Amino acid sequence: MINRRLVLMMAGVFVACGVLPAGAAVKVTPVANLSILGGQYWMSESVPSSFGGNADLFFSPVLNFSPNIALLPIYSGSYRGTKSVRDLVGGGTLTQESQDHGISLKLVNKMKGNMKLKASAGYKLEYLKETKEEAWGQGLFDYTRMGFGVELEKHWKKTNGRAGMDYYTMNYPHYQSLVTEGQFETSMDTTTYSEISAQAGTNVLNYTGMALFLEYARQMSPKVMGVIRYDVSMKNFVDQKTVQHSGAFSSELRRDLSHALSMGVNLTTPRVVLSFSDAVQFYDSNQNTFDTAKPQFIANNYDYFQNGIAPAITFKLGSVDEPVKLSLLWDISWRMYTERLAQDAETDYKSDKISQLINTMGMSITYPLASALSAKLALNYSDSSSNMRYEKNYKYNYYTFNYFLGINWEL
Amino acid sequence: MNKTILLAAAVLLIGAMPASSARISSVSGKPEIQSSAAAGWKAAGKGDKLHSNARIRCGKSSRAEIITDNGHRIKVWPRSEVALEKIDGAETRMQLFAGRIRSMVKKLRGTNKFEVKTPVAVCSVRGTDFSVELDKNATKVEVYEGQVAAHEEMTGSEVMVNAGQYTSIEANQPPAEPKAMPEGAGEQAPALTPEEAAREESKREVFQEISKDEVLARAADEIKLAEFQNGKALIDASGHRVRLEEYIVRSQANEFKYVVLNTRDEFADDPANPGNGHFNFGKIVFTFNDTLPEDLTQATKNMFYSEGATKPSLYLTDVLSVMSNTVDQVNDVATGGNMFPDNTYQPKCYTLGFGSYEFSVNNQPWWRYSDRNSNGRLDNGEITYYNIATGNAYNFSTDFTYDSTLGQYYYLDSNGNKVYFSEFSQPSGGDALHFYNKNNYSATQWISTDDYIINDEGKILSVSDIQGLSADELKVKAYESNFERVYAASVFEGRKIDLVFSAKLLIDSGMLGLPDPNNLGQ
Repeated sequence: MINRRLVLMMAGVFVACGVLPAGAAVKVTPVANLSILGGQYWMSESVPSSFGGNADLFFSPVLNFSPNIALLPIYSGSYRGTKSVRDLVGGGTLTQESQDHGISLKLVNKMKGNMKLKASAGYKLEYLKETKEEAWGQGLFDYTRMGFGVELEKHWKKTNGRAGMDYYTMNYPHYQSLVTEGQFETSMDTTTYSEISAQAGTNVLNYTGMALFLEYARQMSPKVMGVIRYDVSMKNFVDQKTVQHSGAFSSELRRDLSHALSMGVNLTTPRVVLSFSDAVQFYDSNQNTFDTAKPQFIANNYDYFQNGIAPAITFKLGSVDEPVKLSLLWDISWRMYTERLAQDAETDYKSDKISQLINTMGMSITYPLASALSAKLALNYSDSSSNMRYEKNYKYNYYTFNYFLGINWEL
Repeated sequence: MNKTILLAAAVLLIGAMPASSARISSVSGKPEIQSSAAAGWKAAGKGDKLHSNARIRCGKSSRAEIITDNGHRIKVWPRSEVALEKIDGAETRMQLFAGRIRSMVKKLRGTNKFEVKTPVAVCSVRGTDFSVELDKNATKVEVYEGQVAAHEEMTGSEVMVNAGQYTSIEANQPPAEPKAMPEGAGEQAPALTPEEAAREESKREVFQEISKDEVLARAADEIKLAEFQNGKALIDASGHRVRLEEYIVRSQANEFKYVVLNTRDEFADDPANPGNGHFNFGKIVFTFNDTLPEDLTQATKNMFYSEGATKPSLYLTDVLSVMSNTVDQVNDVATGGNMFPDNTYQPKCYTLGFGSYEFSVNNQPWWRYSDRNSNGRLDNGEITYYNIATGNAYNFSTDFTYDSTLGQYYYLDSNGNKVYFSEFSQPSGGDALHFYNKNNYSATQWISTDDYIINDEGKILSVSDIQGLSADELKVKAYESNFERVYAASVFEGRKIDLVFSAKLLIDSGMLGLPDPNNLGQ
């Protein structure tokens, strides 16, 4: 069923962009990148993880039907045996391993006036292993995503503009509301079962999403490029009911809306690349929560405002054509939940809303070994501080460090 | 390319420093050089000196850059071959046999020249930046700075190509009228071959797609983050992943229910084999003396203990608890609840007490408590234990023997060994917060509990994690942890009830007792 829908979706992509030139000579340009890194991570006061490996691969035999029409079949996949400090460390420590695989087709049609019309469709699946005994494909948070999108890009002498839209569906095949599982229904008393199952929903994580973006880049001088981008995304949960003040479910479905505005500037010289970006996001959800342990109702529990700045610099040392790259980055982001109350260590709610400051610093060295092959060493540190002191479910205050060492091959 | 074309480029000539050689300033891939026509090819390296008549060639993935002593820079592209026919102070002349070179020429003085010849062309340059490319039967000239006179040798025709323009020349035909280069190309002199440019453009498209994918993956991570923040996924003490859902249901005006559901996917969801470990659930019904407010905390904050001289207006009258693996169940039923003052005449606080309590397993009572003197406390003689085979109460004086040394009752098993009514141990070692309790009524009637204090990753906390903590600190630690209770009983036929919960409510209710840190590890 999924495959048929995917094929239909991809066929739609081609229709949207125009018919491929029949019988045209096809020139194939393979593009690929493979990265294999191994490393460990430490988290606050814990022993280091065992040595694990990460691998990333993408491959695309780009099919150029003409100078103006290209079709990009893209495979991208990754395996994670250890964590990045940017992973969701606070709650992500459960995840032992993950892998994902995605295929997509992208059609690029160059038109008059330095304009490109692009259409794409893709399918992705991600597997997570949370316990050592767990088999691939059985993870609670395994998901599949299917979607399609269109984009228009226009290039002027010194500027470039892009606008696009994507529609996709997220499906968590193993995550259903427990109350809907059969044996609870038959073993629990009828009254209680009917009370808790009423409108609880089944596939509570599944949603459909739509993402739109506008991007404007300007070459401010031969060495300076500025970029501004606005993203808006919507998630409509297909089976997750909102929680009422009483703790019961309403008939209304959860809907999330996110606005993000980012601005960045890059300075590129033969020896130094300097960048600075600032991203502001506002996340709005109509979902509420009810803390059964207190009990406490929190309206719009997921709403937050976030701002992050990220300066980075890369030095190119040695040979101009095959330099040794030394990169330094700093990323500091501050998130403020607009409604969610902070708790003290004894779970009592405070009047303050939860805020979290995450500070990430990293350094990497890329050393060219041979044509298209380089060695990479990366060191990263991140810490998080928050006024949320109840950390049974999720760590809000922590520090973490990791290192990766490996190779990168690029075609 | 069968016929000869001459390209001549001319710009202002100011002067030139004498130059007698050049050197390779950078290499990429494996370019090769030939010092003279008689010499063999050898790998080129950064810093290699080049003199007149030297050749350099670059393969599919190779590049090289040459700098002459007077500062001219020549970039040799992949799949290109060029000879430095003459390099001296007054003249730099090159022969391009294949591919493409880009020349960035320092301003020349006097009659100094900078020339690029192809099998069909010669370029004479002064102070400009341009490229010459041989592509089948055409020669393409692009000018990025200055001005170039493009001369077709056989016809003698010539055009002036200005910065930002290009022309192409075919043998025996006048050069094409110069045209403006595509937007963006004029000032951004091509550092890439057309193939490389196509590849870079392809990469850019691929990266954009992967970047978009990462944004959507982050959105999925946010959903997972929210589930973790709500504590719905964790690992139990045996290393099995447990999904946990908790519900509060307000079924009556004076009542609410707490329901906790556990599933473990390591055990199959097999309706033909219920109680196999996949499903476990718990339910507690709290009934109060009066209508509950909308905000439940107003009722629960004082429902077990209340400070002050005034009896709280809302208090628990009944509590019903069920824990089950869908086949077996353990029930606690407390009724007749009331708040009892610490001092009848000058009360400073009130504590909840029940008039009766019953503990039953698979719907058979195992023990009962009755507050016969209605003082809200457990006194001697107020608990009765039952023989589930007969339904009669045990008489500890006749059914058991008292061990005055240990202060314990026991019976003798079929081998004559003493089996004490109450057993307690720490099976995971004295340091681990894993407590085992067992009540032995008889050889065929026993029930045990394994209580674990674990974190979300299933690690059993240890004494060292809590030793030395005050009672309040211990409480904090407990709230950060999960509790797992595993019931086993003689009547379960090998099955267990294994329930993990995060219920602070249960700790506060006293249904789960916290260990005394001062007594741990002794």
